[in-house]
Amino acid sequence: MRLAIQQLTEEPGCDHNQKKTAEQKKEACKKPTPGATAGGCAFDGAQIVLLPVADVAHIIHGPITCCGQSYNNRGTRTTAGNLHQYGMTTDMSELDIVFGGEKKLKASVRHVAAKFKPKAIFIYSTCVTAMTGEDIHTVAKEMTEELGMQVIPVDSPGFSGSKNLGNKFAGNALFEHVIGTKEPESIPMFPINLIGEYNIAGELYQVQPLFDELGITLFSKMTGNAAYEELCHAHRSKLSVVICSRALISIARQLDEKYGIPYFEGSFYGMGETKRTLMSIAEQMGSDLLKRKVEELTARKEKETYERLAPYLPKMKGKKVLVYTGGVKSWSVLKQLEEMGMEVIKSSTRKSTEEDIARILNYFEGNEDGLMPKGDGKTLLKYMKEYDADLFLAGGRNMYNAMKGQVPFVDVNQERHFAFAGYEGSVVLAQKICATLESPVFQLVKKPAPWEVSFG
Amino acid sequence: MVKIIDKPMAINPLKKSSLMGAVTAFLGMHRVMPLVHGAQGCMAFTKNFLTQHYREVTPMQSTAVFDIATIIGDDSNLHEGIKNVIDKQKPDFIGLVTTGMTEVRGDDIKGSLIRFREKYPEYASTPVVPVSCPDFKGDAETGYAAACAATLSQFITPEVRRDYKTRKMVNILAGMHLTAGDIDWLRRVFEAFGLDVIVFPDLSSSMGGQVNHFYGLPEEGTSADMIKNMAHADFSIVIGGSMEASADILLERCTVPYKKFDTLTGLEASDEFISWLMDYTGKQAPNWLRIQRQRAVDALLDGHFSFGGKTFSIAGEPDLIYGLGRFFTKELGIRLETAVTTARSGKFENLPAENIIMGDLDDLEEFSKDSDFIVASSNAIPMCHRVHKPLYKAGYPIKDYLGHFHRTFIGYYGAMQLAFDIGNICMTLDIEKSGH
Repeated sequence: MRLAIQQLTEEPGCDHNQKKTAEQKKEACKKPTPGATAGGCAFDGAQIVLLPVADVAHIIHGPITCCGQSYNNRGTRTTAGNLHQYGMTTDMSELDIVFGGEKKLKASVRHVAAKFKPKAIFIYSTCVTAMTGEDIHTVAKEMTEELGMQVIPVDSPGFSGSKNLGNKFAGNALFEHVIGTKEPESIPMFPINLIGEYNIAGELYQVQPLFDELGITLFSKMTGNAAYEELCHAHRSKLSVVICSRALISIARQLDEKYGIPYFEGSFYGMGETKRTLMSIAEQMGSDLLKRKVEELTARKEKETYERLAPYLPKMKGKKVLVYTGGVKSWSVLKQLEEMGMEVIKSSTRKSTEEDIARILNYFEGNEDGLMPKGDGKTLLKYMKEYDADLFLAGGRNMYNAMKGQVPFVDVNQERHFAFAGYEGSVVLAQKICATLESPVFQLVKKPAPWEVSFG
Repeated sequence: MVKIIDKPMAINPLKKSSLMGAVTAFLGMHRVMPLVHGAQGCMAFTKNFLTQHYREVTPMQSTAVFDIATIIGDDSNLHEGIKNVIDKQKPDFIGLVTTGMTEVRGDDIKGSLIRFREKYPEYASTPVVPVSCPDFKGDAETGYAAACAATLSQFITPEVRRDYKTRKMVNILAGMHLTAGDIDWLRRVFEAFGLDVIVFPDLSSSMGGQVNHFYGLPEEGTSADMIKNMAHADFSIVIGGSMEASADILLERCTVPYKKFDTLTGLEASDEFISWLMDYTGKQAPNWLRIQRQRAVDALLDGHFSFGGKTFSIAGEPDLIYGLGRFFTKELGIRLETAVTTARSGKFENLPAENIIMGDLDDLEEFSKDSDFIVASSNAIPMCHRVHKPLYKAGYPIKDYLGHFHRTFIGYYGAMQLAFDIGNICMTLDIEKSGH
């Protein structure tokens, strides 16, 4: 497993790795600073990728923290099943640690197989079970034979690295054990893999109709609204579209190397990006008909969307936004906000690739002041004040920081209930932005209390 | 009889780990940084969990143990973590919470702290309170209680001097199940009886929303000075059995006597509490408290038409389910089908449940077939959707719901509120059953 970790941290598909020296590559993806860190662990990252697959069971082999504090907490939506709502764990006790937990893990796999009859079972290793040397690979192999059901090991001890590395562990598990294990009955005209889209708050539902109308089949979705079966078929797609650039680029690269499936990075945040992504698909498919259809569809949708945005645009025009999010969103959201006439004052570069950063820089016309490295709540609120920003756009972790600073806020991360993708998503985002900008609350809370008002 | 279901695993765990409880306890102390010694995820999951529960900024940090070299064990992550926290945040003290991972590798935390002190004398002025929280042992309530006991062990010494006081002072050792609403009620009662109180820990002030500016460390809460002052209180009261170890420390080291209340939920428990206060102070209950009692009595009478014949099941940590379970069964007259809990520490012999299970929400789903409604945390929402039963939210976490932390579940006011809440659930069921 050590080897696998080493390989994944040196992911050649990660463009930020291509430029590194051999020594830098060994450094893995950035190490966290003890006592000054905020992110999740590799196990968290693995789960983020795989949990949306809701017709398979996910058993976490470890003590209670890994599952007990984390389950039932992501905004992913699905029609494929409901197992993503279940937290399943071997809940290792002291005795299990002393005597070994493989027997318990096997019993858990049997129990889950009988009770839920899932399409497959993923078993995740965690810090404690990796340290005590539990062999989940052998357990998975034996149980696959015993049950006649795919049991798939996911190496994901939290200590091995960041959330981002965990994303890659999950991708690796899919590539090693799932993709290419079954053949589809038939292959549609334009089959694509959508990689790194997790259907948060139903964002996939906002873009699915576009694909339907164009006749493009989301043949294998990794993993928002995915069924297990379609993941097995990913090797038969003609093209991979990678949505969250850094997280799962490894799968796209492996699909390219092994099966000759080309890939590119796309995004559905904003009308411009949506069009670019759809057009790139049409180009890669080499279909002029498809290109024409994309032209027509996007022109019609843009017109409709601008009509729907009309009441909101004047309210958003020229308003200043601080964006603190990661990866692909750190640049694609900027374009989405720009389309709405807003001005981004700074955007974060955490979890961003060199290419992401280049795109952010491009937005700021090369001015590096626009880039913002990792910052804590205090720093972010300081920027808000310094730049006289009107809106703070970030993840749920910063929501209450924003409320302490009494600044308008929109949540753009995984626990939210609002979807911001495609054309529909732009309208929803505009509604949410206006609702917070216009809320009377922010004026009211700044009013001094009676005892703070000096008389005379 | 506590039943253990023969199942090799947990499905939809009810249990939260002891480190989550320990971090929660430290969040109730002024300018204390909870520092979780383990991989990043242990802290990140817990932070996310508590942020959603309290809807507040929840300061905590991780030593971010990373990679095999550190796992095989040197002090560097721990030492660097402590140094960084002190440099950046300047806390009054650090609550150092271990995890399963650091416990499995047999980290000698005390030894490591001694080495830290020797190596970095310039950091000597910031105390560090270590709490052992292997997540393969115990639950959130035991972790919370352990963090409280560890803090008192460190700060309470027999030598502290007794100040001259005009009023008697009582320590309130507040269990993890108490809300800000509960603590507010207690403060008001003690004030009315002429007693000063120190609430320990005090999540009501740190996590209750009264801090209106950004903070990098918990503000308000119980301060280190207040904690030291607990040594010269006249009395301690313990709310929730899990907190008894803390009271014992105060008793043994500083001869502060204590009285334990396993619960303050319900009319009888409230009567017992107020009787004790009247005896202890020799004072009469204030008028507002009498009115609250009358209203509670009236609420019970108004609600009783729909309580009878109903059945419920409950899941939660021992102190929580004991209080609510006892009130709903013995005072409201609702049948308790199943109580699922996370540790054997509760006073379950006094809880008339048909099944008491050490288990998870999957067991609750399995053994609540006759129940009309469910009492549990928001993790039971998917389950209640599946079985089409109303959920009365209680415990940790309460997400997607505003104001839970400000509801009152104890005392006469809490009895009234609970009678209304449960009465409304039961009445709605009656109306639905009768076909509108």
